[in-house]
Amino acid sequence: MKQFSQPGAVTWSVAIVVTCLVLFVFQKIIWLLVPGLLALMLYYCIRPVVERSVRRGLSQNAAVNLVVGIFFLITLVLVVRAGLGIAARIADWRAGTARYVEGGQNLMRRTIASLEQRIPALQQAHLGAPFERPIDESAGEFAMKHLGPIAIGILEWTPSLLLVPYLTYFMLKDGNRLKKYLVRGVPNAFFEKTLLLFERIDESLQNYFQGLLRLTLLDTISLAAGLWILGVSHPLLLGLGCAVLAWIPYVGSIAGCIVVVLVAATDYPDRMGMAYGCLGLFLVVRLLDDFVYMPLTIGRKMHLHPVLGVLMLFLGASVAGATGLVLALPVLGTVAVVGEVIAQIVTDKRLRARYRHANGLAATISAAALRRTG
Amino acid sequence: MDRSKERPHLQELKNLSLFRELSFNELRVVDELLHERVYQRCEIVSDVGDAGLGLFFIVSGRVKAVPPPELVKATVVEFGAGEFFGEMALFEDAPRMAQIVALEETRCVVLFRTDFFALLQKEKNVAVKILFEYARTMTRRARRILVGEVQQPGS
Repeated sequence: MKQFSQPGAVTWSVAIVVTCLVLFVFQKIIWLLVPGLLALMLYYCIRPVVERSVRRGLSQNAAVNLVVGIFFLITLVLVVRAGLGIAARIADWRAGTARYVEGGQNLMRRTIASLEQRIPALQQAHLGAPFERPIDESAGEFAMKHLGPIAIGILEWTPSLLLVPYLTYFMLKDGNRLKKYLVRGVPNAFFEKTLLLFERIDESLQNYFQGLLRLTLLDTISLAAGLWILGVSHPLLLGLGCAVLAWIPYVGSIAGCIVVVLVAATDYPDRMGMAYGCLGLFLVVRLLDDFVYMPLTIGRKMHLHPVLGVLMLFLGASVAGATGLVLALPVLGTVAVVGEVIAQIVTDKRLRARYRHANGLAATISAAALRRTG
Repeated sequence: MDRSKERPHLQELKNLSLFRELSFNELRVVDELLHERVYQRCEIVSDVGDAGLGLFFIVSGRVKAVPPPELVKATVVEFGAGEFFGEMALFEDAPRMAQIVALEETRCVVLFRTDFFALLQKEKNVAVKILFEYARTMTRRARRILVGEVQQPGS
């Protein structure tokens, strides 16, 4: 078999530039991208169940209808229940926000006071001044300022998110037909390589999304167990929320950490150690995530060098902000696969000669047909 | 696919040696995975050294397998409608050993490696029937080679 080398420096450079361009375009169509990605994620999660149903004797269409139907029915029930719960408690949100902001301010005041006691030089810096504002004022201001836009944002995104079940259904039902349709237009010489490309893109995306969900599960379990042992309220909900926030590299983890520390500081206003314990737990889970979970789930299959991965995250963030940060690695993985296969085709002189030969034959046949009819 | 057009199309697939024993329902499952290609006369279908990524079934037309010149004992073999080729590279995960050239306009359906092995794993009934036909074809080809070798010295 022809052995092809791993992508070289040129291929990687092109892949990085193309990834930046793709991220820039993605940022402009975020309303379509988000449902598309969620649908893709669901597609890769539901597909094994559909395949199992087909193996048990259902036709492809029946299996898709059944599995997708059950899945979305359960989701609908959960969403309606959550919606009713939120509607019932919306009045408490302002009070809740105030309570947690107060907890955070209290923690900061006490931490700074403790630091000032140990290092007298810090007293002149008045580090605690920003945290001396009346709590009702700052929390109320926060709630007025942010809760409205958040609610409007959710309403704005609803039509777009309704595309998720629709897209997932048709990906499962017609994904193979779409692939066949696309492959039909490829010249014979490149046909097998194109099938290989599709297989590798499919494999790369599947690995990423399934890995991401496994990583989320592991993070949720670790955080929830740690928070439960520490005695923080709602450990599972907090663990899940933080694990989902961690989909946004670095920024999401920090946001999740702040939320957990605020909850711990509010639950135990007199025990500062609890908030620091949560901070410690977060650092431990972060380390576990980076050095154990990530290599076991996403990293193992993506074959990206850590330096390149971090570089791509920074580039993605500068080109497309939060969108770039979230999508930099999966897009780079996919673009690298496409780049590698295109590089194989471009550098395979024999393959290109086959293509030219086939074109020449087609031209000869067409000319002969013209002569006959002329 | 339109129902009226589907039946003749499935009948075409049923005429392929490897799918002979499959029911129409089973052929529908296989058909979802097949890619159709048309090759002009003299066009190279697959080349020596290529990775064996697909199993080719000839629906109509003829092809010849031309081994590389260094394989002095190998002979040119022809395949016609209903026959398949490309299985050696597929099963051994090895490079193609011969160049396949279309002898006339040839219509093939191609089953990609991953789809083929997934089909064998998922559809046990289909797998048994396909593998049985595969074994039968291989036996026939082996017999042809043996008979050819025995006849050659005397001829």
